[in-house]
Amino acid sequence: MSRYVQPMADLIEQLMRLPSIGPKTAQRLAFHILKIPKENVERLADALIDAKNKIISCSVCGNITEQDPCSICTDDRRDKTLIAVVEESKDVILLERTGEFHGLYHVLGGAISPMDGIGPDDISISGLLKRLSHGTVKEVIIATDPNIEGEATSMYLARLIKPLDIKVTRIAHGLPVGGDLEYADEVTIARAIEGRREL
Amino acid sequence: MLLEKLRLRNFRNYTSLDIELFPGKNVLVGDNGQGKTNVIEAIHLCGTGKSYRTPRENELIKWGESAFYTGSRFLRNNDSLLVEVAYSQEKGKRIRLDGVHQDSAMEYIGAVNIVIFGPDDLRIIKGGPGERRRFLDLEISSIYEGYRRDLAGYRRILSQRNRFLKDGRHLMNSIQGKTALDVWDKQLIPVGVRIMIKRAKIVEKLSSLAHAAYKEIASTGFLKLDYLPSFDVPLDATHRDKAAVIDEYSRIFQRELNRLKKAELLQGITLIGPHRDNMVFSIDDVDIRTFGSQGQQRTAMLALRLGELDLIRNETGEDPILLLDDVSSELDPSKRAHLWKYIDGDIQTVITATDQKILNEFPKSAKVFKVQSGSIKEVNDGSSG
Repeated sequence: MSRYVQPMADLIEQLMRLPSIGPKTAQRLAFHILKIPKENVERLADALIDAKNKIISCSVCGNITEQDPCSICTDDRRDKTLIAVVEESKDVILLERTGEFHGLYHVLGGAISPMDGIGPDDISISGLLKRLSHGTVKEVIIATDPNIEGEATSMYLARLIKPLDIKVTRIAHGLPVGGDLEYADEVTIARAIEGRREL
Repeated sequence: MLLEKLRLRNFRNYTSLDIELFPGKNVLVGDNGQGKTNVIEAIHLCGTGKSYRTPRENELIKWGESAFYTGSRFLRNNDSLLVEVAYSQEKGKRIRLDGVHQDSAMEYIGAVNIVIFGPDDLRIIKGGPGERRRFLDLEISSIYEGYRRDLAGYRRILSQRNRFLKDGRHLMNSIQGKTALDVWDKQLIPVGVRIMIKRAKIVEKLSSLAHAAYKEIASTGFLKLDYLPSFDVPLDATHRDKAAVIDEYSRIFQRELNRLKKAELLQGITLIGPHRDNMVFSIDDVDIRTFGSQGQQRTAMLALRLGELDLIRNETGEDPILLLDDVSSELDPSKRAHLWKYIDGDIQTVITATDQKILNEFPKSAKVFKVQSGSIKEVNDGSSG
Protein backbone atom coordinates (compact mmCIF):
# COMPACT_ATOMS: atom_id res chain seq x y z
CA MET A 1 0.00 0.00 0.00
CA SER A 2 3.00 2.30 0.35
CA ARG A 3 2.65 3.39 -3.27
CA TYR A 4 -0.57 5.24 -2.52
CA VAL A 5 -0.78 8.75 -1.09
CA GLN A 6 -1.67 8.64 2.59
CA PRO A 7 -5.44 9.48 2.43
CA MET A 8 -5.92 6.83 -0.27
CA ALA A 9 -3.97 4.24 1.71
CA ASP A 10 -6.07 5.04 4.79
CA LEU A 11 -9.32 4.63 2.85
CA ILE A 12 -8.24 1.26 1.41
CA GLU A 13 -7.12 0.09 4.82
CA GLN A 14 -10.48 0.99 6.41
CA LEU A 15 -12.43 -0.70 3.64
CA MET A 16 -10.36 -3.85 4.01
CA ARG A 17 -11.49 -4.16 7.60
CA LEU A 18 -15.01 -4.90 6.37
CA PRO A 19 -16.00 -8.54 6.05
CA SER A 20 -15.52 -10.25 2.67
CA ILE A 21 -13.52 -7.32 1.31
CA GLY A 22 -9.98 -8.15 0.28
CA PRO A 23 -7.22 -5.86 -0.99
CA LYS A 24 -8.42 -5.88 -4.60
CA THR A 25 -12.06 -5.11 -3.82
CA ALA A 26 -10.95 -2.42 -1.35
CA GLN A 27 -8.85 -0.77 -4.07
CA ARG A 28 -11.70 -0.85 -6.54
CA LEU A 29 -14.12 0.65 -4.01
CA ALA A 30 -11.62 3.35 -3.07
CA PHE A 31 -11.12 4.40 -6.70
CA HIS A 32 -14.88 4.37 -7.20
CA ILE A 33 -15.34 6.67 -4.21
CA LEU A 34 -12.79 9.13 -5.68
CA LYS A 35 -14.66 9.16 -8.97
CA ILE A 36 -18.25 9.78 -7.78
CA PRO A 37 -19.63 13.28 -6.97
CA LYS A 38 -18.80 14.67 -3.56
CA GLU A 39 -22.50 14.76 -2.51
CA ASN A 40 -22.78 11.02 -2.98
CA VAL A 41 -19.73 10.45 -0.83
CA GLU A 42 -21.19 12.71 1.85
CA ARG A 43 -24.46 10.83 1.74
CA LEU A 44 -22.59 7.54 2.19
CA ALA A 45 -20.58 8.93 5.10
CA ASP A 46 -23.73 10.37 6.72
CA ALA A 47 -25.56 7.08 6.31
CA LEU A 48 -22.71 5.25 8.04
CA ILE A 49 -22.62 7.65 10.99
CA ASP A 50 -26.41 7.87 11.17
CA ALA A 51 -26.86 4.10 11.24
CA LYS A 52 -24.23 3.76 13.91
CA ASN A 53 -25.73 6.54 16.05
CA LYS A 54 -29.42 5.72 15.72
CA ILE A 55 -29.50 1.97 15.69
CA ILE A 56 -29.50 0.25 19.05
CA SER A 57 -30.43 -3.23 20.11
CA CYS A 58 -33.86 -3.78 21.64
CA SER A 59 -33.59 -4.21 25.40
CA VAL A 60 -36.24 -6.94 25.25
CA CYS A 61 -35.44 -9.13 22.24
CA GLY A 62 -31.97 -7.98 21.19
CA ASN A 63 -33.00 -7.21 17.61
CA ILE A 64 -31.67 -4.03 15.99
CA THR A 65 -34.06 -1.10 16.31
CA GLU A 66 -34.37 2.66 16.27
CA GLN A 67 -36.67 2.92 19.29
CA ASP A 68 -36.54 0.76 22.39
CA PRO A 69 -38.42 -1.59 22.75
CA CYS A 70 -38.54 -2.44 19.05
CA SER A 71 -41.59 -2.29 16.79
CA ILE A 72 -42.08 -6.07 16.94
CA CYS A 73 -41.98 -6.27 20.74
CA THR A 74 -44.51 -3.40 21.03
CA ASP A 75 -46.86 -4.65 18.28
CA ASP A 76 -50.15 -5.67 19.98
CA ARG A 77 -51.22 -7.82 17.04
CA ARG A 78 -48.37 -10.26 17.57
CA ASP A 79 -48.73 -13.51 19.48
CA LYS A 80 -47.00 -12.92 22.80
CA THR A 81 -47.16 -16.58 23.79
CA LEU A 82 -44.71 -17.57 21.06
CA ILE A 83 -40.99 -16.74 20.81
CA ALA A 84 -38.62 -17.66 17.98
CA VAL A 85 -34.99 -17.81 19.09
CA VAL A 86 -32.47 -16.88 16.36
CA GLU A 87 -28.72 -16.33 16.25
CA GLU A 88 -28.57 -12.95 14.49
CA SER A 89 -30.78 -9.97 13.62
CA LYS A 90 -30.57 -10.87 9.94
CA ASP A 91 -32.40 -14.11 10.78
CA VAL A 92 -35.34 -12.03 12.07
CA ILE A 93 -35.59 -10.36 8.66
CA LEU A 94 -35.58 -13.78 6.97
CA LEU A 95 -38.39 -15.09 9.17
CA GLU A 96 -40.38 -11.86 8.82
CA ARG A 97 -40.21 -12.08 5.03
CA THR A 98 -42.03 -15.41 5.11
CA GLY A 99 -45.06 -13.70 6.63
CA GLU A 100 -45.76 -17.01 8.36
CA PHE A 101 -44.57 -16.18 11.83
CA HIS A 102 -46.55 -13.83 14.03
CA GLY A 103 -44.92 -14.35 17.41
CA LEU A 104 -42.03 -12.50 19.05
CA TYR A 105 -38.30 -12.96 18.59
CA HIS A 106 -35.24 -13.38 20.71
CA VAL A 107 -31.85 -12.63 19.13
CA LEU A 108 -29.02 -14.50 20.87
CA GLY A 109 -26.22 -12.64 19.12
CA GLY A 110 -24.36 -15.81 18.16
CA ALA A 111 -24.13 -19.51 18.98
CA ILE A 112 -22.18 -21.47 21.59
CA SER A 113 -18.71 -22.13 20.18
CA PRO A 114 -15.83 -22.85 22.57
CA MET A 115 -13.36 -22.56 19.67
CA ASP A 116 -14.38 -18.93 19.23
CA GLY A 117 -14.43 -18.34 22.98
CA ILE A 118 -18.24 -18.11 23.03
CA GLY A 119 -19.84 -19.82 26.01
CA PRO A 120 -23.48 -19.81 27.16
CA ASP A 121 -22.85 -16.63 29.13
CA ASP A 122 -21.58 -14.77 26.09
CA ILE A 123 -24.86 -14.91 24.19
CA SER A 124 -28.21 -13.56 25.35
CA ILE A 125 -29.48 -16.66 27.17
CA SER A 126 -30.11 -15.10 30.58
CA GLY A 127 -32.17 -12.40 28.86
CA LEU A 128 -34.31 -15.09 27.26
CA LEU A 129 -34.82 -16.92 30.56
CA LYS A 130 -35.88 -13.67 32.20
CA ARG A 131 -38.50 -13.14 29.50
CA LEU A 132 -39.77 -16.68 29.98
CA SER A 133 -40.08 -16.26 33.75
CA HIS A 134 -43.03 -13.85 33.27
CA GLY A 135 -45.24 -16.83 32.39
CA THR A 136 -46.80 -15.42 29.20
CA VAL A 137 -44.80 -17.54 26.80
CA LYS A 138 -46.20 -21.00 25.98
CA GLU A 139 -43.84 -22.11 23.24
CA VAL A 140 -40.23 -21.40 22.24
CA ILE A 141 -39.22 -22.21 18.66
CA ILE A 142 -35.47 -22.62 18.39
CA ALA A 143 -34.34 -21.45 14.96
CA THR A 144 -30.56 -21.48 15.32
CA ASP A 145 -28.50 -22.61 12.31
CA PRO A 146 -28.55 -26.37 11.56
CA ASN A 147 -24.77 -26.70 12.04
CA ILE A 148 -22.77 -28.14 14.95
CA GLU A 149 -22.72 -24.90 16.93
CA GLY A 150 -26.39 -24.12 16.25
CA GLU A 151 -27.34 -27.65 17.34
CA ALA A 152 -25.31 -27.34 20.54
CA THR A 153 -27.03 -24.04 21.30
CA SER A 154 -30.49 -25.49 20.64
CA MET A 155 -29.82 -28.49 22.91
CA TYR A 156 -28.51 -26.24 25.64
CA LEU A 157 -31.58 -24.00 25.46
CA ALA A 158 -33.94 -26.97 25.41
CA ARG A 159 -32.40 -28.32 28.62
CA LEU A 160 -32.82 -24.98 30.35
CA ILE A 161 -36.33 -24.22 29.11
CA LYS A 162 -38.06 -27.60 29.46
CA PRO A 163 -38.06 -27.58 33.30
CA LEU A 164 -40.00 -24.27 33.11
CA ASP A 165 -42.95 -26.18 31.65
CA ILE A 166 -42.77 -24.33 28.35
CA LYS A 167 -43.01 -26.20 25.05
CA VAL A 168 -39.70 -26.18 23.16
CA THR A 169 -39.62 -26.90 19.44
CA ARG A 170 -36.86 -26.93 16.86
CA ILE A 171 -37.41 -25.80 13.27
CA ALA A 172 -37.38 -28.78 10.90
CA HIS A 173 -34.37 -29.37 8.71
CA GLY A 174 -34.52 -31.37 5.58
CA LEU A 175 -35.10 -31.06 1.91
CA PRO A 176 -35.32 -27.66 0.26
CA VAL A 177 -38.66 -26.86 -1.38
CA GLY A 178 -38.43 -27.35 -5.13
CA GLY A 179 -35.37 -29.54 -4.59
CA ASP A 180 -34.81 -32.95 -6.06
CA LEU A 181 -34.32 -35.91 -3.72
CA GLU A 182 -31.60 -37.12 -6.05
CA TYR A 183 -29.42 -34.09 -5.39
CA ALA A 184 -29.70 -34.02 -1.60
CA ASP A 185 -26.82 -35.41 0.47
CA GLU A 186 -27.24 -38.42 2.77
CA VAL A 187 -27.20 -36.40 5.99
CA THR A 188 -29.96 -34.10 4.77
CA ILE A 189 -32.10 -37.02 3.62
CA ALA A 190 -31.54 -38.82 6.94
CA ARG A 191 -32.59 -35.68 8.82
CA ALA A 192 -35.62 -35.28 6.60
CA ILE A 193 -36.70 -38.86 7.35
CA GLU A 194 -36.11 -38.29 11.06
CA GLY A 195 -38.31 -35.21 10.98
CA ARG A 196 -41.08 -36.72 8.83
CA ARG A 197 -44.69 -36.05 9.70
CA GLU A 198 -47.97 -37.79 9.21
CA LEU A 199 -50.19 -36.68 6.35
CA MET B 1 -10.91 -47.97 -14.15
CA LEU B 2 -8.23 -47.09 -16.67
CA LEU B 3 -5.71 -44.27 -16.87
CA GLU B 4 -5.34 -43.46 -20.56
CA LYS B 5 -3.24 -40.31 -20.65
CA LEU B 6 -1.11 -38.43 -18.18
CA ARG B 7 0.07 -34.87 -18.66
CA LEU B 8 2.52 -33.13 -16.31
CA ARG B 9 3.73 -29.54 -16.42
CA ASN B 10 6.46 -28.33 -14.09
CA PHE B 11 5.78 -31.23 -11.76
CA ARG B 12 8.80 -32.32 -9.67
CA ASN B 13 11.60 -32.94 -12.20
CA TYR B 14 9.33 -32.88 -15.27
CA THR B 15 9.04 -29.70 -17.33
CA SER B 16 6.59 -31.18 -19.77
CA LEU B 17 5.43 -34.77 -20.01
CA ASP B 18 2.68 -36.42 -22.01
CA ILE B 19 2.37 -40.20 -21.94
CA GLU B 20 -0.24 -42.70 -22.99
CA LEU B 21 -0.66 -45.72 -20.78
CA PHE B 22 -1.38 -49.29 -21.66
CA PRO B 23 -4.51 -50.97 -20.19
CA GLY B 24 -2.33 -53.75 -18.71
CA LYS B 25 1.11 -53.44 -17.16
CA ASN B 26 3.18 -50.29 -17.59
CA VAL B 27 6.79 -50.46 -16.49
CA LEU B 28 8.87 -47.37 -15.81
CA VAL B 29 12.54 -48.32 -15.98
CA GLY B 30 15.38 -46.04 -14.98
CA ASP B 31 18.18 -45.41 -12.53
CA ASN B 32 17.47 -43.93 -9.12
CA GLY B 33 16.69 -40.22 -9.02
CA GLN B 34 15.48 -40.02 -12.63
CA GLY B 35 11.80 -39.40 -11.81
CA LYS B 36 10.05 -42.79 -11.75
CA THR B 37 8.37 -42.31 -8.38
CA ASN B 38 7.34 -38.78 -9.39
CA VAL B 39 5.05 -40.30 -12.03
CA ILE B 40 3.57 -42.66 -9.42
CA GLU B 41 3.08 -39.68 -7.12
CA ALA B 42 1.33 -37.68 -9.86
CA ILE B 43 -1.09 -40.52 -10.63
CA HIS B 44 -1.80 -41.06 -6.93
CA LEU B 45 -2.38 -37.31 -6.53
CA CYS B 46 -5.27 -37.61 -8.99
CA GLY B 47 -6.93 -40.18 -6.76
CA THR B 48 -6.76 -38.34 -3.46
CA GLY B 49 -6.02 -34.70 -4.30
CA LYS B 50 -3.05 -34.98 -1.98
CA SER B 51 0.53 -36.14 -2.35
CA TYR B 52 1.37 -39.23 -0.33
CA ARG B 53 4.97 -38.08 -0.01
CA THR B 54 4.60 -34.55 1.34
CA PRO B 55 1.92 -32.36 2.89
CA ARG B 56 3.52 -29.29 1.24
CA GLU B 57 2.29 -28.82 -2.33
CA ASN B 58 5.05 -26.29 -2.87
CA GLU B 59 7.57 -29.12 -3.01
CA LEU B 60 5.80 -30.60 -6.03
CA ILE B 61 6.60 -27.57 -8.18
CA LYS B 62 9.63 -27.88 -10.45
CA TRP B 63 12.58 -25.96 -9.07
CA GLY B 64 12.51 -22.31 -10.18
CA GLU B 65 8.86 -22.40 -11.34
CA SER B 66 5.80 -21.03 -9.54
CA ALA B 67 3.08 -23.54 -10.46
CA PHE B 68 2.50 -27.15 -11.48
CA TYR B 69 -0.27 -28.84 -13.42
CA THR B 70 -1.30 -32.50 -13.72
CA GLY B 71 -4.03 -33.70 -16.03
CA SER B 72 -5.15 -37.33 -16.18
CA ARG B 73 -7.63 -38.76 -18.61
CA PHE B 74 -9.39 -41.78 -17.04
CA LEU B 75 -11.93 -44.23 -18.32
CA ARG B 76 -14.45 -44.92 -15.55
CA ASN B 77 -17.47 -47.18 -16.18
CA ASN B 78 -16.62 -46.70 -19.86
CA ASP B 79 -17.03 -42.92 -19.45
CA SER B 80 -14.18 -40.55 -20.02
CA LEU B 81 -13.16 -38.50 -16.96
CA LEU B 82 -10.58 -35.73 -16.88
CA VAL B 83 -9.00 -35.07 -13.48
CA GLU B 84 -6.86 -31.96 -13.15
CA VAL B 85 -4.90 -31.08 -10.05
CA ALA B 86 -2.92 -27.86 -10.17
CA TYR B 87 -1.14 -25.75 -7.62
CA SER B 88 0.31 -22.29 -7.85
CA GLN B 89 1.99 -20.28 -5.13
CA GLU B 90 -0.43 -17.46 -5.84
CA LYS B 91 -3.75 -19.29 -6.12
CA GLY B 92 -3.13 -22.42 -4.09
CA LYS B 93 -4.54 -25.80 -5.07
CA ARG B 94 -7.26 -26.26 -7.66
CA ILE B 95 -8.93 -29.56 -8.49
CA ARG B 96 -11.21 -29.95 -11.50
CA LEU B 97 -13.31 -32.91 -12.62
CA ASP B 98 -14.20 -32.67 -16.30
CA GLY B 99 -13.55 -28.95 -16.03
CA VAL B 100 -15.78 -28.48 -12.98
CA HIS B 101 -14.02 -26.90 -10.03
CA GLN B 102 -14.13 -28.92 -6.78
CA ASP B 103 -14.47 -26.92 -3.59
CA SER B 104 -12.35 -29.17 -1.45
CA ALA B 105 -10.23 -32.28 -1.65
CA MET B 106 -12.75 -33.85 0.76
CA GLU B 107 -15.55 -33.53 -1.71
CA TYR B 108 -13.35 -34.90 -4.42
CA ILE B 109 -11.92 -38.10 -2.90
CA GLY B 110 -13.44 -41.16 -4.45
CA ALA B 111 -13.80 -40.04 -8.07
CA VAL B 112 -10.85 -42.24 -8.99
CA ASN B 113 -9.73 -45.27 -7.01
CA ILE B 114 -6.04 -45.98 -6.81
CA VAL B 115 -4.12 -48.52 -4.75
CA ILE B 116 -0.43 -47.96 -4.13
CA PHE B 117 2.27 -50.22 -2.76
CA GLY B 118 5.71 -48.80 -2.14
CA PRO B 119 8.64 -48.41 0.25
CA ASP B 120 6.72 -45.87 2.38
CA ASP B 121 4.01 -48.40 3.13
CA LEU B 122 5.67 -50.08 6.08
CA ARG B 123 4.88 -47.09 8.28
CA ILE B 124 1.25 -48.24 8.26
CA ILE B 125 2.31 -51.35 10.17
CA LYS B 126 5.32 -49.93 12.02
CA GLY B 127 4.14 -46.40 12.73
CA GLY B 128 1.78 -45.12 15.40
CA PRO B 129 -2.00 -45.71 15.49
CA GLY B 130 -2.48 -42.41 13.62
CA GLU B 131 -0.93 -43.95 10.49
CA ARG B 132 -3.39 -46.82 10.59
CA ARG B 133 -6.35 -44.52 11.19
CA ARG B 134 -5.25 -42.38 8.23
CA PHE B 135 -5.05 -45.49 6.06
CA LEU B 136 -8.52 -46.66 7.12
CA ASP B 137 -10.11 -43.24 6.76
CA LEU B 138 -8.72 -42.70 3.27
CA GLU B 139 -9.82 -46.19 2.30
CA ILE B 140 -13.37 -45.86 3.61
CA SER B 141 -13.72 -42.25 2.42
CA SER B 142 -12.89 -43.25 -1.13
CA ILE B 143 -15.78 -45.72 -1.09
CA TYR B 144 -18.43 -44.06 1.09
CA GLU B 145 -19.41 -40.42 0.74
CA GLY B 146 -21.32 -40.40 4.03
CA TYR B 147 -18.21 -41.46 5.93
CA ARG B 148 -16.33 -38.45 4.60
CA ARG B 149 -19.00 -36.10 5.97
CA ASP B 150 -19.10 -37.90 9.30
CA LEU B 151 -15.32 -37.60 9.67
CA ALA B 152 -15.40 -33.86 9.01
CA GLY B 153 -18.31 -33.42 11.42
CA TYR B 154 -16.64 -35.53 14.09
CA ARG B 155 -13.42 -33.50 13.88
CA ARG B 156 -15.33 -30.25 14.31
CA ILE B 157 -17.36 -31.50 17.28
CA LEU B 158 -14.18 -32.92 18.82
CA SER B 159 -12.37 -29.56 18.50
CA GLN B 160 -15.29 -27.77 20.15
CA ARG B 161 -15.49 -30.34 22.93
CA ASN B 162 -11.73 -30.25 23.56
CA ARG B 163 -11.79 -26.49 23.73
CA PHE B 164 -14.62 -26.63 26.23
CA LEU B 165 -12.70 -29.16 28.34
CA LYS B 166 -9.74 -26.76 28.37
CA ASP B 167 -11.47 -23.41 28.79
CA GLY B 168 -14.79 -24.27 30.36
CA ARG B 169 -13.78 -26.52 33.22
CA HIS B 170 -14.38 -23.80 35.79
CA LEU B 171 -18.06 -23.92 34.78
CA MET B 172 -18.35 -27.57 35.72
CA ASN B 173 -19.51 -26.92 39.26
CA SER B 174 -22.83 -25.64 37.97
CA ILE B 175 -25.72 -27.43 36.30
CA GLN B 176 -25.24 -25.10 33.32
CA GLY B 177 -21.63 -26.21 32.97
CA LYS B 178 -22.63 -29.86 32.91
CA THR B 179 -25.24 -29.10 30.27
CA ALA B 180 -22.67 -27.15 28.25
CA LEU B 181 -20.46 -30.25 28.09
CA ASP B 182 -23.41 -32.52 27.45
CA VAL B 183 -24.42 -30.69 24.25
CA TRP B 184 -21.08 -31.75 22.74
CA ASP B 185 -21.36 -35.35 24.00
CA LYS B 186 -24.80 -35.64 22.49
CA GLN B 187 -23.37 -34.69 19.10
CA LEU B 188 -20.06 -36.55 19.41
CA ILE B 189 -21.64 -39.90 20.25
CA PRO B 190 -23.94 -40.49 17.23
CA VAL B 191 -21.30 -39.44 14.68
CA GLY B 192 -18.56 -41.31 16.56
CA VAL B 193 -20.65 -44.48 16.69
CA ARG B 194 -21.37 -44.32 12.96
CA ILE B 195 -17.63 -44.03 12.28
CA MET B 196 -16.83 -46.93 14.62
CA ILE B 197 -19.39 -49.27 13.07
CA LYS B 198 -18.14 -48.46 9.57
CA ARG B 199 -14.54 -49.05 10.61
CA ALA B 200 -15.42 -52.33 12.33
CA LYS B 201 -17.20 -53.61 9.23
CA ILE B 202 -14.50 -52.54 6.78
CA VAL B 203 -11.65 -53.94 8.89
CA GLU B 204 -13.47 -57.25 9.03
CA LYS B 205 -13.89 -57.35 5.25
CA LEU B 206 -10.35 -56.15 4.67
CA SER B 207 -9.04 -58.77 7.07
CA SER B 208 -10.53 -61.69 5.20
CA LEU B 209 -9.48 -60.29 1.80
CA ALA B 210 -5.94 -59.57 2.98
CA HIS B 211 -5.80 -63.03 4.53
CA ALA B 212 -6.72 -64.61 1.18
CA ALA B 213 -4.02 -62.60 -0.59
CA TYR B 214 -1.46 -63.43 2.10
CA LYS B 215 -2.17 -67.13 1.74
CA GLU B 216 -1.25 -66.95 -1.93
CA ILE B 217 1.92 -64.92 -1.48
CA ALA B 218 3.39 -66.38 1.70
CA SER B 219 3.76 -70.08 2.27
CA THR B 220 2.79 -70.12 5.92
CA GLY B 221 0.97 -68.08 8.52
CA PHE B 222 -2.51 -66.70 9.11
CA LEU B 223 -2.76 -62.94 8.58
CA LYS B 224 -5.47 -61.15 10.50
CA LEU B 225 -6.48 -57.53 11.00
CA ASP B 226 -8.31 -56.49 14.13
CA TYR B 227 -10.11 -53.25 14.76
CA LEU B 228 -9.22 -51.98 18.20
CA PRO B 229 -11.57 -49.21 19.30
CA SER B 230 -10.55 -46.83 22.07
CA PHE B 231 -13.05 -48.45 24.44
CA ASP B 232 -14.47 -51.95 24.64
CA VAL B 233 -17.51 -52.70 22.54
CA PRO B 234 -18.78 -56.08 21.37
CA LEU B 235 -17.39 -56.12 17.81
CA ASP B 236 -19.40 -59.12 16.66
CA ALA B 237 -22.44 -56.94 17.34
CA THR B 238 -22.04 -55.29 13.93
CA HIS B 239 -23.77 -58.33 12.45
CA ARG B 240 -26.88 -57.81 14.54
CA ASP B 241 -29.74 -55.38 13.99
CA LYS B 242 -28.31 -51.97 13.11
CA ALA B 243 -30.51 -49.87 15.37
CA ALA B 244 -29.77 -52.14 18.34
CA VAL B 245 -26.02 -51.92 17.69
CA ILE B 246 -26.11 -48.13 17.44
CA ASP B 247 -28.03 -48.09 20.71
CA GLU B 248 -25.60 -50.37 22.48
CA TYR B 249 -22.48 -48.57 21.25
CA SER B 250 -23.95 -45.18 22.14
CA ARG B 251 -24.76 -46.35 25.64
CA ILE B 252 -21.24 -47.66 26.20
CA PHE B 253 -19.67 -44.52 24.69
CA GLN B 254 -21.72 -42.31 27.03
CA ARG B 255 -20.94 -44.49 30.06
CA GLU B 256 -17.22 -44.32 29.30
CA LEU B 257 -17.32 -40.56 28.78
CA ASN B 258 -19.01 -40.20 32.17
CA ARG B 259 -16.42 -42.44 33.78
CA LEU B 260 -13.54 -40.45 32.30
CA LYS B 261 -15.01 -36.99 32.80
CA LYS B 262 -12.72 -36.05 35.69
CA ALA B 263 -9.59 -37.10 33.80
CA GLU B 264 -10.76 -35.34 30.66
CA LEU B 265 -11.35 -32.09 32.50
CA LEU B 266 -7.96 -32.40 34.13
CA GLN B 267 -6.14 -33.00 30.85
CA GLY B 268 -8.36 -30.79 28.71
CA ILE B 269 -8.82 -33.35 25.93
CA THR B 270 -11.28 -36.02 24.85
CA LEU B 271 -9.71 -39.33 25.86
CA ILE B 272 -11.88 -41.82 23.96
CA GLY B 273 -13.56 -42.00 20.59
CA PRO B 274 -12.69 -42.87 16.99
CA HIS B 275 -9.79 -40.39 17.07
CA ARG B 276 -8.07 -42.81 19.46
CA ASP B 277 -8.83 -46.03 17.57
CA ASN B 278 -6.19 -48.53 16.48
CA MET B 279 -5.86 -51.51 14.18
CA VAL B 280 -3.67 -54.55 14.87
CA PHE B 281 -1.91 -56.74 12.28
CA SER B 282 -1.21 -60.25 13.46
CA ILE B 283 0.22 -63.40 11.92
CA ASP B 284 -0.77 -66.57 13.76
CA ASP B 285 -2.10 -64.33 16.54
CA VAL B 286 1.24 -62.59 17.06
CA ASP B 287 1.26 -58.79 16.72
CA ILE B 288 3.70 -58.19 13.86
CA ARG B 289 4.19 -54.50 14.63
CA THR B 290 6.44 -55.51 17.52
CA PHE B 291 7.21 -59.17 16.90
CA GLY B 292 7.19 -59.52 13.10
CA SER B 293 10.28 -59.66 10.88
CA GLN B 294 10.80 -56.98 8.24
CA GLY B 295 9.95 -59.60 5.60
CA GLN B 296 6.70 -60.57 7.33
CA GLN B 297 5.72 -56.92 7.64
CA ARG B 298 6.40 -56.29 3.94
CA THR B 299 4.41 -59.33 2.84
CA ALA B 300 1.56 -58.43 5.20
CA MET B 301 1.54 -54.91 3.80
CA LEU B 302 1.40 -56.16 0.24
CA ALA B 303 -1.43 -58.51 1.22
CA LEU B 304 -3.25 -55.54 2.77
CA ARG B 305 -2.90 -53.56 -0.46
CA LEU B 306 -4.19 -56.49 -2.51
CA GLY B 307 -7.05 -56.86 -0.04
CA GLU B 308 -7.73 -53.15 -0.52
CA LEU B 309 -7.84 -53.75 -4.26
CA ASP B 310 -10.38 -56.54 -3.88
CA LEU B 311 -12.42 -54.46 -1.43
CA ILE B 312 -12.67 -51.54 -3.87
CA ARG B 313 -13.61 -53.94 -6.63
CA ASN B 314 -16.32 -55.55 -4.46
CA GLU B 315 -17.76 -52.30 -3.16
CA THR B 316 -17.61 -50.12 -6.29
CA GLY B 317 -17.81 -52.79 -8.98
CA GLU B 318 -14.69 -51.50 -10.70
CA ASP B 319 -11.01 -52.32 -10.62
CA PRO B 320 -8.83 -49.63 -9.12
CA ILE B 321 -5.51 -48.70 -10.72
CA LEU B 322 -2.54 -50.36 -9.02
CA LEU B 323 0.73 -48.52 -8.52
CA LEU B 324 3.77 -50.57 -7.51
CA ASP B 325 6.77 -48.49 -6.55
CA ASP B 326 10.10 -50.28 -6.50
CA VAL B 327 8.71 -53.75 -5.81
CA SER B 328 11.96 -55.50 -6.74
CA SER B 329 13.69 -54.05 -3.72
CA GLU B 330 10.62 -54.61 -1.54
CA LEU B 331 9.90 -58.24 -2.40
CA ASP B 332 12.02 -61.26 -3.30
CA PRO B 333 11.55 -63.01 -6.68
CA SER B 334 9.28 -65.77 -5.37
CA LYS B 335 6.95 -63.24 -3.67
CA ARG B 336 6.93 -61.19 -6.87
CA ALA B 337 5.97 -64.26 -8.90
CA HIS B 338 2.95 -64.71 -6.61
CA LEU B 339 2.14 -61.03 -6.95
CA TRP B 340 2.17 -61.12 -10.77
CA LYS B 341 -0.06 -64.17 -10.66
CA TYR B 342 -2.43 -62.43 -8.27
CA ILE B 343 -2.86 -59.35 -10.45
CA ASP B 344 -2.82 -61.21 -13.74
CA GLY B 345 -6.37 -60.12 -14.56
CA ASP B 346 -7.36 -56.86 -16.19
CA ILE B 347 -6.01 -54.58 -13.50
CA GLN B 348 -4.07 -51.68 -14.93
CA THR B 349 -0.73 -51.50 -13.17
CA VAL B 350 2.12 -49.01 -13.18
CA ILE B 351 5.40 -50.49 -11.96
CA THR B 352 8.72 -48.79 -11.36
CA ALA B 353 12.02 -50.68 -11.51
CA THR B 354 15.70 -49.94 -11.84
CA ASP B 355 16.37 -53.12 -13.79
CA GLN B 356 14.71 -53.97 -17.07
CA LYS B 357 15.04 -57.66 -16.20
CA ILE B 358 11.79 -57.40 -14.24
CA LEU B 359 10.03 -57.64 -17.60
CA ASN B 360 11.05 -61.28 -17.89
CA GLU B 361 8.87 -62.01 -14.89
CA PHE B 362 5.61 -61.15 -16.64
CA PRO B 363 3.80 -63.77 -18.61
CA LYS B 364 1.90 -61.15 -20.62
CA SER B 365 3.02 -58.14 -22.61
CA ALA B 366 3.77 -54.82 -20.98
CA LYS B 367 4.43 -51.30 -22.12
CA VAL B 368 7.90 -50.11 -21.21
CA PHE B 369 8.93 -46.52 -20.55
CA LYS B 370 12.55 -45.50 -20.16
CA VAL B 371 12.91 -42.75 -17.57
CA GLN B 372 15.94 -40.51 -17.67
CA SER B 373 16.40 -37.18 -15.88
CA GLY B 374 12.88 -35.87 -16.26
CA SER B 375 12.05 -37.24 -19.67
CA ILE B 376 10.31 -40.45 -20.66
CA LYS B 377 10.71 -42.49 -23.82
CA GLU B 378 8.46 -45.34 -24.84
CA VAL B 379 10.68 -48.32 -25.52
CA ASN B 380 8.36 -50.93 -26.99
CA ASP B 381 4.72 -51.68 -27.14
CA GLY B 382 4.76 -55.39 -27.64
CA SER B 383 5.60 -58.47 -25.73
CA SER B 384 8.61 -58.69 -23.52
CA GLY B 385 8.75 -62.42 -23.18
